[in-house]
Amino acid sequence: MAAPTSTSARVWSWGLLAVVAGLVLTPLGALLYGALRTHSPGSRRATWTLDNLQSVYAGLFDNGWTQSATINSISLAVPVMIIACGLGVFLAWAVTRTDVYGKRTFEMLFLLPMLYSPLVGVIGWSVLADPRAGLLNVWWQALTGAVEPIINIYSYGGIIAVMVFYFIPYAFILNVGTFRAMDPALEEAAEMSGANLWQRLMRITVPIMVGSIGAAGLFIFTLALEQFAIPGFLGSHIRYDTLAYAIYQRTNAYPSDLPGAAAAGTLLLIISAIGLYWYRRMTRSSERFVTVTARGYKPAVTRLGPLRPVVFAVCAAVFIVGVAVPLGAVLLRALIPVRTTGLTIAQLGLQNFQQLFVAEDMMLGLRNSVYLATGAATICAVLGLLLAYRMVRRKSGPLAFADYLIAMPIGIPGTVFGVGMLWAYVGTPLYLTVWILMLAFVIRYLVYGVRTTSSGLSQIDRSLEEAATVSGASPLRTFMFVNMPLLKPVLASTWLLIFMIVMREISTSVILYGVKSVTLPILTWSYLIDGSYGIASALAIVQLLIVGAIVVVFRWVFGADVRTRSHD
Amino acid sequence: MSDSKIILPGRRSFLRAGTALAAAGAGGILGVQSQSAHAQAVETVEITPRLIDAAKREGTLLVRYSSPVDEMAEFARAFTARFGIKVQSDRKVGVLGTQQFMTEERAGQHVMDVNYSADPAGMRDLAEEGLYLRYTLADLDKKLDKGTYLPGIAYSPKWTDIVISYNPDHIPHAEAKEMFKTWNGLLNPKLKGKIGINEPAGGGVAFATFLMFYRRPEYGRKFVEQLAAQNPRLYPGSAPGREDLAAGAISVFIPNWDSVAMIEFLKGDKTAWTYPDVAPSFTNTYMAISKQAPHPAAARLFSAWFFTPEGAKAVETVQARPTLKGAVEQRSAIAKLKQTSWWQPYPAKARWIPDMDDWDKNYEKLMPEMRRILGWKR
Repeated sequence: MAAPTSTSARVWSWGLLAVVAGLVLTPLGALLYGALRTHSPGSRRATWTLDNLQSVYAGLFDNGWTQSATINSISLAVPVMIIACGLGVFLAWAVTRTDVYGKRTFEMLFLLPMLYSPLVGVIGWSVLADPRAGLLNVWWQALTGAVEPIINIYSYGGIIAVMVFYFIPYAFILNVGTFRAMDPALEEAAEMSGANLWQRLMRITVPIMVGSIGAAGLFIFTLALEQFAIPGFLGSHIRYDTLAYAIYQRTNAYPSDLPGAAAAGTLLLIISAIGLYWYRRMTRSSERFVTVTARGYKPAVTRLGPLRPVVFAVCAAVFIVGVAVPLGAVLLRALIPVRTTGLTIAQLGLQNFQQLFVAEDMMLGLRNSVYLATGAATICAVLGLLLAYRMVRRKSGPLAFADYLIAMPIGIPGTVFGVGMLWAYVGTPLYLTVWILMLAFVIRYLVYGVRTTSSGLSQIDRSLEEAATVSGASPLRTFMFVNMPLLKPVLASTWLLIFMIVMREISTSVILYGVKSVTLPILTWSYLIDGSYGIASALAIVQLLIVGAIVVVFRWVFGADVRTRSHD
Repeated sequence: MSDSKIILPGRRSFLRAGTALAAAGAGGILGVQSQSAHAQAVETVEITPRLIDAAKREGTLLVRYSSPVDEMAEFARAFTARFGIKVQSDRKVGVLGTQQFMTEERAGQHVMDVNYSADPAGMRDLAEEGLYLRYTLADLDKKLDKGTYLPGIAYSPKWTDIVISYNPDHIPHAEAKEMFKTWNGLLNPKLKGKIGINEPAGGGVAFATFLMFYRRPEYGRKFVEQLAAQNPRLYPGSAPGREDLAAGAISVFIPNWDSVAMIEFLKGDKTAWTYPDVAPSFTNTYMAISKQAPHPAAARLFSAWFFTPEGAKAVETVQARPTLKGAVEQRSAIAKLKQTSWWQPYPAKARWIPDMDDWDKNYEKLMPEMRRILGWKR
């Protein structure tokens, strides 16, 4: 149904566009300005130039610094997106739509990698799978007498594997809510018509989920492009450069080249925009897949039958290989005060944990992190709901443009985005306070709020709202008592996702934090770059426990499957 | 600057921020007029009772630094213990601190008092623009060697002495002592695939070492090519290389520096190090004072104190060799190292001090070439 274009609707649309444009274009405009300067903005020697952009874009074709780095970045991002998305969606389906054993436990366990920094994961994998000193290789060689390692984390495949396990939780959490909100009537009808499990999945479930899966794929592709820590650390051993890492070096190494980094940031932005374009093409007909209708339904699970142990085995294998084993290695590293060639039980101790709690910044970092994560998650969920509602229900040119704008900040590396925020806001009272971090996180992660809520909303039949309107309910009342209860699982997933992302955010914070706005991930980062791997690992374990406890409480309060309980 | 400027803003300042945000794109750094550089007289900073009193009245200062957290924590602890002045330590790794300082100053935000940074070129640039105080230390010639400071701008309290670190489980001490008398020992075929290198872009220590290879006739570019043929592991910084060396993933790691190696040794690290025939010995981190320091007396006191015998002692608590002439050796690690069979004192003849002009002029040309030789595709 075509949306009415009343004056108030137009005012809303343009008003929202203005807010979004103000938020997004301020730092991005500063970045573009910086990319057009010979030196960092503010420098007395800075003059206008196109050299930075020329170096980046011409370099793509004449063997410049961006060529192989861009090819490498895309060569990583595409397979990581496909594999992580495939596994994440499968796991989300398994725990929400099937009778697999232990699904409630799995649902919590799969989120664990989101509770600590990717660099900590790299430590875990290095302890395990270094070709010479990795425990798995050492044990394998001792057991079999083999000379060659069984697994080498410093390889193209190794980098992809670590990134896949890092990104699976994104695909998982972005699809759990949508799976849970999906009416199983179509699947049941297909089953009654004789379709087997595979046919039901491919012809019913996946097409219904295309918006949600597409959103997850887009996020993972974009985040894999801008991820510098994993490929930067693992790739340097094999001289495998990525664009995000090359950009990071330009911001961090001497002499810095912030204008060059800003110019290269625009290249990542364009690649991400192409991804967004394809996502929008793929999901433009998502309303075909409305599944939440006025007809009441009882959530049903797919009986896996003989496949039940197989699905359980896949879930368990992903958890053990991708989460438990590397996390165990991080815990082991946290218990080793000093790394040595061999490991013995006698070496283990709690010294790293003790040193951690002596550090005076620990409690400040914890308080700031919880405060920022809670605030940013709440603002993004509320603002995202508002924007998504207008975008899905009142489609208009301004809002379609706003949709593109919202996705832009996530398309550039966090460090570069941080530099844009610095350039834009240094003259304001927000500078060096937690408020500039809060603003940066809202701008950067609002896209999660909008995208996940949009895909949830697009599954809700308008007839529910129309019925409420016909019954005399005001738009606000309709929204609060029709849409909100139906969107509760999606909103809960969105809030949790943003909360967890902010709790481990480093790349933007490292530019913007001040003495009083230090966060836990910044402390972890500091320990890592100083070589205090044991303390960094200990901090990661503490962070995991704290954030894990918060997530458990949140899910207990709001319910992991609110919808199911409301029907009971 | 008082503490209140960097804590959460109050309601009024938050409302002010709302107004400022509306024009932030133009109201931030973008719309701020550049200050013109003014020729400054060089001030002599001397620790006097008057300076100490003034600093104590200010009560605090903000030091932005790029060195390890533990190092600055020790410096801050020692300074606070001596004068009762609180040190707010703001860490910004690499060149970010200098960049942030410039951005702040151009926007009229005077936040930082002292910059303790490994970005001497950036410091020189900003000094040219009039952002750093032009100062010298009283009795400079008696205190510091030339080459340990940027005249009139910044002064380094410690030496960074480059070493070759090795894992004695892989290379026995006696063999390492012979093998690494010169850097050519790294070309031993036995070490193929077992060498870890902090790549040239991995910080000042790494670049200084590669610059030495290029500039010393007995090594030269050819040596770097031969090193690359040993198929080394490259690291984006020194910390992961040291971790891998301790774990036995590699047998040798270069370049490391002795103060950090000593700190690890005190923690129980089993790796060891040697001083080859010639190695970079240079001052990697410098202290400079913001011209608009919000706590000018405390900034001056802090920057001058580390060049006194008391301050040098604080430098030695992080196992670094002070630049202060005549500083008495008091590092706790040295006493313990003397009890080992493998350790040898730092040989003064090993010093190779990089020419910072050469560094500045040729960095951008040499860096890509060095990385290409080592096997990077770009």
